[in-house]
Amino acid sequence: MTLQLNGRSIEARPGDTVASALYRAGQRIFTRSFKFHRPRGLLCLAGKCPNCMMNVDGTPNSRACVTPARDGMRVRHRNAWPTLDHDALSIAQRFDWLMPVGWSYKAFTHPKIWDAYQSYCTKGTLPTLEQIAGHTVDLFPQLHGIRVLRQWAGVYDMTPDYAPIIGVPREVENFYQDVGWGTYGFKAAPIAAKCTAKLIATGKTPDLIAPFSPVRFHNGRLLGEKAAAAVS
Amino acid sequence: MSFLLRCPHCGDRSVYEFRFGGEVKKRPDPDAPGEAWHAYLYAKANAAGVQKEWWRHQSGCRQWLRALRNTITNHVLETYFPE
Repeated sequence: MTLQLNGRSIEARPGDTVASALYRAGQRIFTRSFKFHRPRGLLCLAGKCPNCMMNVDGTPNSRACVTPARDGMRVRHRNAWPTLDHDALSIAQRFDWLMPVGWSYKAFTHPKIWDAYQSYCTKGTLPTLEQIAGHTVDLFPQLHGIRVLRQWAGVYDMTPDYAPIIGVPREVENFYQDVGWGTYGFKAAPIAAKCTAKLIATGKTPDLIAPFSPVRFHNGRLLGEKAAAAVS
Repeated sequence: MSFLLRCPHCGDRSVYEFRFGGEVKKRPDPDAPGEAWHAYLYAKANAAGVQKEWWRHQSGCRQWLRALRNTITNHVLETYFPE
């Protein structure tokens, strides 16, 4: 059997995943990263990481390493133009010193920079500014001494256990929720949607999403998801 | 916006010395139905305006106190120890 990588025929054997077929054919770069367009290939080979996410038969963000190969499959890379090997936007890598790894979540999602009280006030606070400035100078010492032009704050709503809500609320009939995702919603969206579709079609909650039911706020079975959400 | 809370024991202190304890609500009876506990634990009024709430002076006298605070301006109208 064969599958198509951006229109090029790739041989696949029984038992192959999309990733193993591409790798055998000599492919090392599978896709490019969202922010800097850096080359991305195989890393975990277990469906746990986002490095081999490709568009498979029109489904975006399919993990090539856990997607079984089928005859005639059309596989496309993401985040590269005009081609995977010659990506114009890979010039973004030149500016990586502006945004080192982890900068966004270290600067913005650490709970110590949240004011942990209910407030509709959107003025920034000096302690928060100091904290963000501290993280920033940690990562970019060359930015010490820069002046702050303005700052602002926003309202952020969280579930009490930092976990998403997937399921049927008691209060409204024929209403399905798949909400409250945070940093990891992007990766989990395909499976969450699949499970929710199953729930709608069969009326039975798949085991995988059962713990996320809104009923947990009635029976007190909250989840401990702070680590998964990278906020603790 | 950063602001001061007046601890009835320690005086005016930065809000960062305190831990927020949530809206003041009436605790249900131990044998109250699940709905009452659900409302008490998870449902919040999130008032946009003056709200009666719990604070604990964590980095000071470590006592729980109550405050009347305007959640739009973070202006604290009154603080007191509960009876």
